[in-house]
Amino acid sequence: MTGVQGTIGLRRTKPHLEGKNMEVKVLFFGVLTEVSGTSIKHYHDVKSIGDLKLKIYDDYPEIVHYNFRISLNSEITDNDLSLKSGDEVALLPPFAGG
Amino acid sequence: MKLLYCHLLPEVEVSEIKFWSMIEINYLTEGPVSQKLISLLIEKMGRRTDSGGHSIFLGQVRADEIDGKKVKAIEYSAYVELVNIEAENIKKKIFSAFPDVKSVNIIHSTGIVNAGEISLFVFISAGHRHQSIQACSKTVELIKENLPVWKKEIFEDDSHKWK
Repeated sequence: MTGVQGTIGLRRTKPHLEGKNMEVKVLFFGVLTEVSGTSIKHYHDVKSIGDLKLKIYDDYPEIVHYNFRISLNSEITDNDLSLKSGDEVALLPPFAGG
Repeated sequence: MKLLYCHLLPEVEVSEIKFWSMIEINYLTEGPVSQKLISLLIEKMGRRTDSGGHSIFLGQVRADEIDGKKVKAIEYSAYVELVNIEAENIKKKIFSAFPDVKSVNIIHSTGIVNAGEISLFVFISAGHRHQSIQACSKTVELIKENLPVWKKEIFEDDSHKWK
């Protein structure tokens, strides 16, 4: 158990990459995992959520036909917020629990 | 110390204290919600002498027929971090709207759940029956609306459809 915690500690202390190496993590959920063929992808040099969405549409044009919301660091938002290195953005199709 | 099977890792036995603390902070279980877990939670609630009414909702996978094909299972997936945040929000809303409610338990499946098996478990305890029944219904509605969970219906011929 201490080994696992140690690994997480090391990852957190790793300096964030800035400038040209700025990187955000994008998570795909539900049907969008199938449309994109992945559940996780890293994007570089994206200034905002709007900017990121354009890059995602470039990579996966089919996604434009799907309805989804966005969360930034586990908080759902409808705003075109600016992004910083290390941010986690998720694409959330309509929920279907129960 | 009494040992119980952990619902998150069915093959692992954990102490009773750890088991209940895991129920408080984990809202997801791999596979169906087991009868064993349901009966354990009912047993736990029996020890609450401040409650006069408990309401339970069990969500079950239906063997729907779609375009001539029968659903044999549903595969659930979830955004775990957001599920934890949203489930906490749901509990806060329920406690605030129904002051007589003493406890709110929510457990949702991830992974494969076969038709006829339980995929959602909601258990509300309240001082009196009216608020336990109303709060249970409201909790299920809030889960449907806010919990980041997705389902893929798997048919008998192994084809699938996202819902």
